Amino acid sequence: MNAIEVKNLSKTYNGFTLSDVSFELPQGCILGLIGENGAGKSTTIRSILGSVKYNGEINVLGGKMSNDMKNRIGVVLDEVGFPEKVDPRDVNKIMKNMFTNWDEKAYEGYISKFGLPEDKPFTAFSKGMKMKLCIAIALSHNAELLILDEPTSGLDPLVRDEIVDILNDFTRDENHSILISSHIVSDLEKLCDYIAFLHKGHLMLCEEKDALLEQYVFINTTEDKLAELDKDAIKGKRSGKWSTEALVDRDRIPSTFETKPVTIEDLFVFMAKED
Amino acid sequence: MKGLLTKEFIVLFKNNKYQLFLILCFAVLGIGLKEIPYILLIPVLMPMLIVQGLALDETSKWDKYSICFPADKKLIVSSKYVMVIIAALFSAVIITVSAVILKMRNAISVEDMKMYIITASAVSLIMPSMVLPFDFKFGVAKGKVITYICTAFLTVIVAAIFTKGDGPSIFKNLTGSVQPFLLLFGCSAAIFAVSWFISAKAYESREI
Repeated sequence: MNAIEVKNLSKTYNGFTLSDVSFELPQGCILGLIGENGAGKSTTIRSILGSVKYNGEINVLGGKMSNDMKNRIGVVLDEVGFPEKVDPRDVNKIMKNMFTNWDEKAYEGYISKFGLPEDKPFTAFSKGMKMKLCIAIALSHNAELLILDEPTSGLDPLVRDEIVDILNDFTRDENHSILISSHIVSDLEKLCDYIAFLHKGHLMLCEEKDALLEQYVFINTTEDKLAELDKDAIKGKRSGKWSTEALVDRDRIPSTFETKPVTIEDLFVFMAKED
Repeated sequence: MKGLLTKEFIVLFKNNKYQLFLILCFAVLGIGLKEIPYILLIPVLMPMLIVQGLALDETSKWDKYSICFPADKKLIVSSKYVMVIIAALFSAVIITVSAVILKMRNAISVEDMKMYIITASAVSLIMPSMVLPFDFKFGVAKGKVITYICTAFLTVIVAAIFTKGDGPSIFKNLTGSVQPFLLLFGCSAAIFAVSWFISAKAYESREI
């Protein structure tokens, strides 16, 4: 079963169009939605959550989004919003009455694990603390699916690493799935099984991360030699004074070329620039 | 709904301690000075604290964050209206207690007492009913501007009726009769219900 199925999702705002986006997140997997700022990641996530109107079809955990469904989903948005004087103890009181499956002990465990002060008002929290509180909420109602929109943006590397560890822990249960969007590609590279590239509202690709890293390689060559290659094999290039570095499809180039492995970040940057 | 109401109560008490204290002061002042107008401020102020909460939701970005929870937009709107009803009931209780004390002190008659309680209850429903649909449709900042324009427009109409017609004598004739005030309360309850419906539709159509 797929945790999320998005088919032909389209959404138009003033000056921005998300066009015909389709992807699937298999249950038990982590899918990273990568894209520059304004690529359409948040619009995709808001469409999945049902907070914006859209064209297309979206199924979550085998059904349409509803209040009941949200009991099975943990959501973290890039902006965490609690009224300023609310503290983590108040949050517990609110969420206890909000989610049918709220696990108070799990919440208290996360609050203590994250070192969040229980009696400090939300307004006194740093961005990292706010994000941790939000993650604690998302993880404290036995969610089967986490939907995370830029959970690591604006955080220092230490906190980001901590969050990546927490998310890795969450997916130890094979029924748990995560959809995570970020423009910090290195975080997603550590975490994801599948990668989807969004660029200017278009889905450029959605594939297994390992397959992508296997399929694409760097070659260092000259412009003349590059011109002899199949044009479809070249996904992007960077020309220097003495040589040209190109991102190519490994299966479409002769095996005589000396290749270098790529990272997901390289792949995204080259593909986005080539566009 | 229970979760949203819990949040509303927490925010109401944590953010409005001084306002709530002042509201009680008006009751004490009204009773002490035997001046009912002080007490009649309560049904105006109390529900407006709830309306003010909507601005807090926007500034704290709770309105955006609430999509993470099992609460759709209709439920979010309903939680505000339920809070207005609770605030109106709270005001009605304070006014009833104050009116009974004033009656015991021979400051008002039984008929006046009934009239004040019903009118205050009507006012506590009408004020938020006028404001909330605009706030839910356009957001608090734009909504307030539109509310002010509409209020000014209504004030001009009411003033025109009273200056051209014989407004004061209408009130004089009403004294001693509770029915017109019950009718007023019925109308305000109807306006409140329509406002609730419009707000829910407006908020559902709004993309946050």
